[in-house]
Amino acid sequence: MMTPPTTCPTMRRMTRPAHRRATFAPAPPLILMMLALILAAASGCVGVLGDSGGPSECSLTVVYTPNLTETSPAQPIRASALLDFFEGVAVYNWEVLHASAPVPFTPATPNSSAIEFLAPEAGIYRVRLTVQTASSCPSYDEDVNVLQPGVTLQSFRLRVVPPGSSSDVAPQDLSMTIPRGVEFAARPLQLLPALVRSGLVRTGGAGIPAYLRFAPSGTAGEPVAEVASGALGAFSARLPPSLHDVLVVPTGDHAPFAVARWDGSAQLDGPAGVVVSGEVRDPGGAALAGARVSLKVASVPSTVGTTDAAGAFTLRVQPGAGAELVVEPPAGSGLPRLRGAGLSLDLGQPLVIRYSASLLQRSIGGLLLQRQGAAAAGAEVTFVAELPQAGTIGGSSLAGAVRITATAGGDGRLPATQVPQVALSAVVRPAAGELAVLPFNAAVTPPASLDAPPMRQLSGTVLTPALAASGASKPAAGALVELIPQGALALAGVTAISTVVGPGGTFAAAAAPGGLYRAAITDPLGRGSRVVTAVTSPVPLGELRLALGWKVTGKLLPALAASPVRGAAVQLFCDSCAGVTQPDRPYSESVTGDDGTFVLVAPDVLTSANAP
Amino acid sequence: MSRPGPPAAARARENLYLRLARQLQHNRLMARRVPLIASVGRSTARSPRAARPAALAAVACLGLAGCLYLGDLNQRPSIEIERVTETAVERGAMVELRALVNDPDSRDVVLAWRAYTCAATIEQCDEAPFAESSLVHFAPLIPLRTAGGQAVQHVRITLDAEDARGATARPAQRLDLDVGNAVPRLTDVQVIGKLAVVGHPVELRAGRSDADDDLASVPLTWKVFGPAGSLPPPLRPLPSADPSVEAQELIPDVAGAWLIEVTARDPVGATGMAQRALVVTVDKPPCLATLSPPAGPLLFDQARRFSALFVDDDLDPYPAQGGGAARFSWSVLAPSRGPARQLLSGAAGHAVDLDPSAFTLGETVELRVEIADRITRALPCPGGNASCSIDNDGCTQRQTWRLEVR
Repeated sequence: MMTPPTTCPTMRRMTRPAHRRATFAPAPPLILMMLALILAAASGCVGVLGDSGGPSECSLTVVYTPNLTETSPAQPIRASALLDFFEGVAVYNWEVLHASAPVPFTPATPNSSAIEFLAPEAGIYRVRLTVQTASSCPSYDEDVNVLQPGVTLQSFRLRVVPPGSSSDVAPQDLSMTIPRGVEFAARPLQLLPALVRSGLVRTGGAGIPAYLRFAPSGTAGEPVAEVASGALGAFSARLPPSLHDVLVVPTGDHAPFAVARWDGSAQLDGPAGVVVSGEVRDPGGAALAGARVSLKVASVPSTVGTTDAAGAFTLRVQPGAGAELVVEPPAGSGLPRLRGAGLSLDLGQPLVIRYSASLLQRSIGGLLLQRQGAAAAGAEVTFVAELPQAGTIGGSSLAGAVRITATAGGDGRLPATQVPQVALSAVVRPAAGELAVLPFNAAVTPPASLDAPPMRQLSGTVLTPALAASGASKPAAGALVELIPQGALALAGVTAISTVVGPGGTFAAAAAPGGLYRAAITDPLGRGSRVVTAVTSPVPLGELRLALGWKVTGKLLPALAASPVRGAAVQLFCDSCAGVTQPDRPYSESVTGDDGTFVLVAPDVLTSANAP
Repeated sequence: MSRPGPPAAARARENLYLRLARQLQHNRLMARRVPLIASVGRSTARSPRAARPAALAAVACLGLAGCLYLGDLNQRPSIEIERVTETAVERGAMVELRALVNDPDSRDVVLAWRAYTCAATIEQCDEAPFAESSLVHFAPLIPLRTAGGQAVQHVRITLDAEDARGATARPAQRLDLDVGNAVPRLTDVQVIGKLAVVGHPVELRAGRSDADDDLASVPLTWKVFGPAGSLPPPLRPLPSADPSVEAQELIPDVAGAWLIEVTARDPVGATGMAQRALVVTVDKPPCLATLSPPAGPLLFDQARRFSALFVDDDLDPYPAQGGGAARFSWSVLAPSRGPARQLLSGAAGHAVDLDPSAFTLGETVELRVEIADRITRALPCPGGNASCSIDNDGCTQRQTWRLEVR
């Protein structure tokens, strides 16, 4: 039954502090008690014993029975108002809304200080209460979440990046637990303040310029600050008040180092590290000059060493177990980049890195680049390939990544260019903004020319998720589509293509013929969650539906500032994911409004489309 | 204005006479059982002009015959027009009238109402009536226009009466009414959009209503008053699905306070007017407010997503619920890719993903983002500047990450 906002007077109540004081104060003599009662009555504070302080500010709380996170449609929800520091007659005016529609409620107490209502479906219910009293009492206006019993809870990581102008809040990661399958109003999130941490980066007692990366200790989150120290090593960073793992990468020939669980109090003193020497040999066993070599030991990078004419290099690194190695061949060598991970290296011994003897080179100078049959002057081509085994270090094999770029002359022909004699892919840029991926098998006699066909359309129609009731979908105009290069395009370092879904729900983007892409679709309007397609070539994709998702609203409260944080970026990530590789793009991202509130869309991580 | 009715005292007197006359008739009826009411067109009806000689002759005959028989002398009916309600007379509304009829002979009286529309003056009435009736009550619906197509501003009502013996009421009654005119009203006059910016269209909308005119005959007149130095371009009509609403496009040419005045004029010349103030500003360049990671020197040892998470702009912020017009441009400058900065074609969104393996180990790569809103502005800074602010006010349109590849 719909009940209009009730206006039932309640009896005068004693203040809670008065009760407490009356309960715990030592019993005074009778005459003093009488005097106190007379004075109290005269001042309107009947029943207040020994209350010598002034009236406190009225406060209002609303408690719910049962717990809103565990309710069912048939079970009435009781909302009870608790007034503190209040005297006099109160009139309670309640309002309950769900999906912008009023929800019927009935008074549960004669004075309507409590009400009962049914929540026929899970979701956000807005409860408003104003209390009219002689003195001023605050009103209550909050979204409460009604959840079905047994609801699945999903964990996410909320990344908060304050605007550049904000000096009160530090970038930080917060954990969020969000129920599956229902809109959710998150409790206001209290942000950690930004504390200025200053210090010195020193090696051997002397301050040095360096790059510093601060990440929260023990979490998989992204860095919260990246700064550079001055020439004498002094740095200053705004950090949340917690422990941080710090990576320090000095400029020059000092070995980078890491400091775990830095509390901000100590200077960042780095050990000198060890000097690692070695040599790089080409497939013929000759010294390879101009190659760059780096290590990463226990996730701490080394300095970068460059081979001399004898193929020898030195670098500095902090000792440890488990090394990653990268060897960048000199430009024009036609050799692949070597990469090894999980290597067990004896850093005290010279490292001998050899390219595989089978990795023969082929000159492709004079290769004609064409654009639809015509010579493409100034065209660019990048030959790419991934080689499972391209070299060795000690007894370990190293993988290879070919990425050799050459630019055609005015006649469309390449200058002298070396490539390995393996099956390659050629990513051709015949003109600005144009791409094509063509096979180029250098293991056999390669073709005399590469003719780039015209760009092809990768198109589709994006729809909102199907409604459970009707199964109907609508065109998701305004959704964002990112065509993420895969395979050869990714190896060539081609960046994603962004486009916006048009009014009819359609999108189309010119894509490289022969190339492979994945389409990642997000909706800034929150009609659905991100969806990522399978790898595809540039073809019409037909209908694509945004994944099911549910709106999550929240508010950021700064710890120190009085005003809410406007313009803070909030991003919803997979809880257990780190880094920014493809699956770890944010599920949803938004910016806080003037009142510090934000709206995100939480995905259903149980579906394959959103599985991290 | 309607003609005032008879004073109350006179009306009461008339009523009294009427009752007395009826009583007399009743008495005569009872005495002589002469039918009181004659049917219309009965041949016994005589004109009042003939009544007096006939009566004299009858009296003479009676005298000669030695007996006196006096037949009833027919008298003219008297009529009067009464306004039932004294509300204002308006086009498209009814005026309620009633005939007050008094026939001393109590004969059947035939009424003839006629209503004529008139234009600007009461002398400009139509020849033909727009409504007629023979009933006591007459409630014509006042048309919007005369037969000549002019707005009705007056109505002439005539009432004639004739009793069963052909005696007509003299004088015939005439009532001239001034017809009021509902003033057109302007509704929902608004400037669409949050902000008005120099050089960019602003949609102006105004609806109007008129109780007694069809909207096609109530055109809107728009006047735009720009600030000093403005030469406001003419408004351009925009299509409107609602026929009561007109939409115009204004492209302000000068920043400052503008005034939009809309006037609706009906065929009678009555007008309704509304004004709206419009503050026009110069479109400020957008600001790169939040970057992730913050711009500056970074160690580039793993694939990262570089984002402009928040672009602060009055008209074209990012993100924007309605899809703003913030435009992103990404470029890289890497020694391994040549001496020139390369535009990352296709990267038109707010973020790009880069992998250090796409660059050469140890080199320093500059990744740059530049933004523009709906206006394309040339950045005033040299290409070598890592950041750039058009207004030199801390609001930057260019930021650069310097990535050391590891």
